[in-house]
Amino acid sequence: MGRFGFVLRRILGAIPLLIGITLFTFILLQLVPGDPALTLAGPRATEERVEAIREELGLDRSLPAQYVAYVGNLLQGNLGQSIRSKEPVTSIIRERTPVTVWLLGAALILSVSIAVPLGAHAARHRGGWIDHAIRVVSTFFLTMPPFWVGLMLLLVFALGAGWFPVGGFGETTAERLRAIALPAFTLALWIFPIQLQSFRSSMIDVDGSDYLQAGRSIGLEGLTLFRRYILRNATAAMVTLLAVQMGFMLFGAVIVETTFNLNGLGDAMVRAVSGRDFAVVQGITIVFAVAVIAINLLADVIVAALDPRVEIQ
Amino acid sequence: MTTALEVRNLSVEITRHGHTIRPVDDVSLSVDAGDCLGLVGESGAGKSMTLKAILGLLPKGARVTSGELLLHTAEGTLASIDPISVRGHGISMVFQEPMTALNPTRRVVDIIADGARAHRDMSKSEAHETAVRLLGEVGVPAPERRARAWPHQLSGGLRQRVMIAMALATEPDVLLCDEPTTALDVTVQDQILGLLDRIRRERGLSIIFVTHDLAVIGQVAQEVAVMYAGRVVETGPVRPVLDRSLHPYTNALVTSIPHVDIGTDQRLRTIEGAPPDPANFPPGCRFSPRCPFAQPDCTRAEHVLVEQATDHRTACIHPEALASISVEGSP
Ligand SMILES: Nc1ncnc2c1ncn2[C@@H]1O[C@H](COP(=O)(O)OP(=O)(O)OP(=O)(O)O)[C@@H](O)[C@H]1O
Ligand SMILES: [Mg+2]
Repeated sequence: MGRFGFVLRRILGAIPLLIGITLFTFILLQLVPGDPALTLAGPRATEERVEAIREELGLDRSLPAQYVAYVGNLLQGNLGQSIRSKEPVTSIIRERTPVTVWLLGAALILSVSIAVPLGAHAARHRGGWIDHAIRVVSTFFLTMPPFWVGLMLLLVFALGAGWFPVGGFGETTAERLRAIALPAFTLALWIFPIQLQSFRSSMIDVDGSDYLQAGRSIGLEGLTLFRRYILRNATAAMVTLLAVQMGFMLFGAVIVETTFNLNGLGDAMVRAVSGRDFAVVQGITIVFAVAVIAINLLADVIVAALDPRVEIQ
Repeated sequence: MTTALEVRNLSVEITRHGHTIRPVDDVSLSVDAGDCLGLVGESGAGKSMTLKAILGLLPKGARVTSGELLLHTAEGTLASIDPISVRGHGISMVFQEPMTALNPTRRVVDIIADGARAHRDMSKSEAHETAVRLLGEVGVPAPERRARAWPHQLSGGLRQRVMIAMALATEPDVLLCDEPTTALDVTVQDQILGLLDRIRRERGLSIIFVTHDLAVIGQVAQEVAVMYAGRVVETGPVRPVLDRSLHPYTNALVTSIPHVDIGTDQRLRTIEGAPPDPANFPPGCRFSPRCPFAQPDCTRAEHVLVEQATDHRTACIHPEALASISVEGSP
């Protein structure tokens, strides 16, 4: 069975998970206290008006019927419409996805560029003061809540120094990079410590390995030794970790987008939850879930390509 | 006989938490061209450390504090060399654990080709051909197909053959083998020993073969050096050392070799006590606390190898005590 079959089977395997997620989001919103029709209609609405809204939203039907209707729409790419703006949820998502993708992409690149050199350095000097210093600093950032770090960065570098905009996105790539810099850095500071510790221990494993000694014994050194003997062996664990961290990063995006007033999916999520705009909440949850599943699948494929011992079956 | 490799007065020290130990203490070895030198001793004697020092592969914290490495040159003289410079050029090594000593993310053919290209400039395809040819030479069946394999797809015995091919790819004059058969089962062990013996003869290779098993030494080596607690305590040609040991430690090792002819009622003799910790080597002769022939002056003995018979040296200051008992027939 080739790689294609492997991917196909993994995608099929994800279907029950997706069904579970739709059920979960559906049930979760049933548990939220308050009646969306009442909220929407406002305090002075008549009984008939509330009934009409309820009917419009399909809330008068039985729960299973509501769920089946929901999944049916979903399969046609119809995520419903916002009860606030009346906009289709898909267009809200389409509009807001780029911001979040930019944010997460930049955060990922930044965090890896902090974690890899520092992790390698800590591994090389393990047990020494540099190793301890790196550990203390990274533990510090791990325990700092991202909204607080974001606020501090905002105060110092945006409001104080004025190097970055206080909020919002931009049109040109340069504007976007500037807009994304502080929020991405905030996220990166939050997620790099775990990457660093993981990469450090991978490097220590490789460094103490018999095969590295064997590679050295035949005269391999420097960049050649690094490329052929260290790189692949030290990165497989990192790829898996990054995929796992995606879930955290989406949660982080919710916080950071709010802090920096970025109109991404996370921000839309927060607004939708507080406005009881449940079609939007469901839609974004599903996008997040699909993204996490897809990224984990991609990570599995990459790891299988990096490490031949991982059987693709 | 010309000397292929000589190690003179090698000492290795390790400092950890402020304490310094010397697991290799003033070790001198030499191996003749085309010969196999067996290096034997119990676990912790410093055998691996000695080999690693020769290639500059000592672990973190360990360093060579004295010693000289001399390698036979093309001009026919012995020249002092630096360990790192002989990697890929003159000396290579076969490691103990074939399961862990091959890079898991590199194909067998590339692992071997790396060695060939580290030794001298050659094209990728030339290195590839060399690798496949070497796989055949070390007895890997269907070498073209196996070349594409990943290490984890091979059995322990095949992996050790690949390891040997990797070491041979650098066209070494001296091969260091660190217990290359310990991790393998007995039949495979015999095959690998046979292979090493064959390539030694065919290529005129010199081998230093580390083991804790004297029976293996008898099979592959011409010369032997016995190590105890970081020191060489006895050296000489294999037969005299094994048959007429001049050191009680060697004698104890010899009598603990399992013989087929040992009756079931005769218990296999092992050496009483444990080898000393390098942090706590006893004074004088380090074997004296475990030695059945120890005399009061043994704890003050200076460590000197004295030639007692042709090329047969011992550090024991009372070799006559051993000579008075018959080794033969007393397992
Ligand atoms: N990294 C290390 N740090 C500290 N001490 C070490 C280290 N490696 C080995 N030693 C010590 O050095 C001594 C010699 O070790 P070495 O590995 O050379 O023994 P050996 O003769 O090869 O034994 P074995 O048959 O078990 O392989 C041992 O006492 C060991 O405890
Ligand atoms: Mg050893």
